[in-house]
Amino acid sequence: MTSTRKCWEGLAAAVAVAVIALTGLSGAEAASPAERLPDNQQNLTFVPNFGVPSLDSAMVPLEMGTNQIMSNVLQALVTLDKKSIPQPQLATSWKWTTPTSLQFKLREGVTFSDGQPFTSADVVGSFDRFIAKKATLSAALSIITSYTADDPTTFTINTSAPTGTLLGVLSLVKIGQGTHSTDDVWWGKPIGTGPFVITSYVANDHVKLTRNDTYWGEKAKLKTLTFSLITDTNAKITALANGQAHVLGDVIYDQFPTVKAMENVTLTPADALTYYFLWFNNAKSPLTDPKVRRAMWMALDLPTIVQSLYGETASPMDSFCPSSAFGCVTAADMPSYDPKGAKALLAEAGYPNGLTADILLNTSNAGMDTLVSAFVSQWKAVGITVKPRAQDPTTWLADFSAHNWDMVVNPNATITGDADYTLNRLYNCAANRLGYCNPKLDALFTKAQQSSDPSERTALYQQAVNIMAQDAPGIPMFQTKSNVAALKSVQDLSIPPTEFIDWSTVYLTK
Amino acid sequence: MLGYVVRRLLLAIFVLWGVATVVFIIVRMVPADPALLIAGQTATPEQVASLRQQMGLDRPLTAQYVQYLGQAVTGDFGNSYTHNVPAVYLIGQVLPNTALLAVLACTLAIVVSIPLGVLAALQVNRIGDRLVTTVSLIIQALPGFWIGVVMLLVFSRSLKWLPSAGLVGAQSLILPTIVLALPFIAILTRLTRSGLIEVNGEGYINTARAKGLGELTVVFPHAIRNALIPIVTVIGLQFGTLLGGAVVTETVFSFPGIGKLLVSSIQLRDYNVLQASVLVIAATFVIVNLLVDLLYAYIDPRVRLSK
Repeated sequence: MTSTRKCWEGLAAAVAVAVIALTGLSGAEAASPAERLPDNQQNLTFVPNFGVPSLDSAMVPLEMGTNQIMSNVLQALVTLDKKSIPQPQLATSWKWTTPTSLQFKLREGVTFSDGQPFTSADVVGSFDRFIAKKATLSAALSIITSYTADDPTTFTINTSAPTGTLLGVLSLVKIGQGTHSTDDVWWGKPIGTGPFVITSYVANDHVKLTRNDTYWGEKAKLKTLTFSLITDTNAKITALANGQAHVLGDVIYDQFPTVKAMENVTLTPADALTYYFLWFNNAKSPLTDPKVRRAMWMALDLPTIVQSLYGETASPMDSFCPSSAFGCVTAADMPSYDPKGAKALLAEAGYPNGLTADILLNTSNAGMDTLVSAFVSQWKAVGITVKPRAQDPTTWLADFSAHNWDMVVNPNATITGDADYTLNRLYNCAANRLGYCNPKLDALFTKAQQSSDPSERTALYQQAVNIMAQDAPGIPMFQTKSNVAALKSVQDLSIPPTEFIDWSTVYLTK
Repeated sequence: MLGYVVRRLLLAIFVLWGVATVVFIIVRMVPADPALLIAGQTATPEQVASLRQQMGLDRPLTAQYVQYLGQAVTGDFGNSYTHNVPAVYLIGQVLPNTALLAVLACTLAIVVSIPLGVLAALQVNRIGDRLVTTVSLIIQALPGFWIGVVMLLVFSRSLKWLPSAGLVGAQSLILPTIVLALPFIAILTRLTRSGLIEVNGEGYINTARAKGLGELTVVFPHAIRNALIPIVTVIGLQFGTLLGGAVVTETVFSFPGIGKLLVSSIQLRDYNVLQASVLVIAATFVIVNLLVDLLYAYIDPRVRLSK
């Protein structure tokens, strides 16, 4: 009995020591002056805000998570600058030799990270793959009728019609080694011409890149760059707090106070190309009537709702695509909050006692249920009863694609940085994405797509969004900022609207 | 003994076939189309149909089932729809991590719970016993994800002692191991305690005490030997469960294990990875249980004699 009592006494003492140790320690560390860390300590961990289903850019060319990583490994003929204007990357120049032939002069002296020289054959092989995969970019690439390697440094694309928007699309066509165009395994972990090389990849866990020491441009300052695919919000913030991660790709508004309270962290909201839309099913009565659609829009106090739910991380939109993209100009006479006007318009449309509808939302979009709840209560105030239908992402996609909804809310991104990508792709008659069709609009979209003159294109988009504001096929609810949190030791971090960060310029200090 | 082993093996194969069939049916009953998921919102119906054909999803279910069973027998489950690499490759990347976590959690549970159970049994209805049983009950009642989040907040965020996510070294194993081991410790402690209390009144234990043996000698090995039989069974079952992936713990700690892979394959409707993961988990569970059954039969001959 004595021995067991001693055991308990010993256990109690150990617990007491542990408690003293736990409470006596302080987590805060004193900041030291900014001094660049030596090369062997230039190892940065980034927690992206998007999942990475695959590293094969041809399979998932529009996946934000894949592009965030692969834009540092594989390069395209052109890249978008902060104003979403195409700039040279693997092509140094380009010109329309005929209205339907675009010729690129390729950069000389470029090699892949394994030393193999980059030529136009690699461009041809990569285009072969992107087109053959029939993935999410295929609709945008369908305008291409043929492409040729004229010589090792010249590449020509022929299109079925003049296409001023093609360069933005081509910024998403990543160039790998042409000889591997049909090799799925190779594209799952490809070798590129970019500033970094993939060294390890464990699906759903991490992707580790190391500096490409044979890079044709200025060498990356980081020695390694790890994309840590942490999904749990709490674990992400904790990883930043304890220094396991240096940068978080996006911080949700709820976590702002926590992150702002961290002494060694800066939170930078940057313009992005992401926005949230609400679509009406324009083919389904009573939403076939533009008066009903406008009334539903006018019933919502969007500025107040967006401000209270998203604060500084989002802003209401004045057009049908985010203002950070080219051609997304302010629409004239967008409906604004006017509940009395909404009621009157509903009565005028033949619904003096209101109407009922459903709204489809995707459970993977955090906070969307709260937003929809706010909408539902404001619609209720004007006599419209709306039933939310929250679904998991895959079920949502099936119903969304089958047009099995009265209204739907979802985020989207104008990933090419051009109004054409959102307006023409989503709202033309042939797309039939929301049962909306306006031939006048189609004519404007086609003209804007074919024009290579930026001012002409802007004027055409102005006319287009003015028509859309009258038709109200959907509600562009708000555009978001990319809220990147980084340790103060991270230097020269710049967030472009595409959110495809160029990590080659970033470095770490003490 | 040989007959018993053969019987158990045949039953194990039947169970695996059952699991394979149920998984095949269930994943195809779940709404949503993997081809549509990969093709995305922008795809035309023609593009989705073409992709469905490439993925072999346009074929009759019976043809898909036969192919799937053939693949399962050869260990080739086809490529992941999204990652475009063999499903078994993806599983091979994460299964060792889960196995390591399971071994560590099991070891920790055994090392902590058996001494605690013995201590409690030796102090029946006294303060030590009440403390052990109360704490065990509390731990068993607490949800694993809650314990995980609290430990993250204390040891990762506040104290900054341990990493919060991923597998970035041996220290990444500490928190998930403890979180996985805690409920196991609670079960084993209570089981050891009750087992020992039960055998404590047996004649051979009284004889041992009458001979003048010390209390510890009476417990080790006399009493503990018989008390161990149900404990071995529970350890085996629990180890099989841990090897199958601790989905919640792996998610909370973003731990790259088979549980996390399984969740992701469900979200992406990646049939090949999903089917392969479930079969691997089921096979692991069946094999561990088979081993436990064989061990049990070895320890207690009455088991193998019963039909």
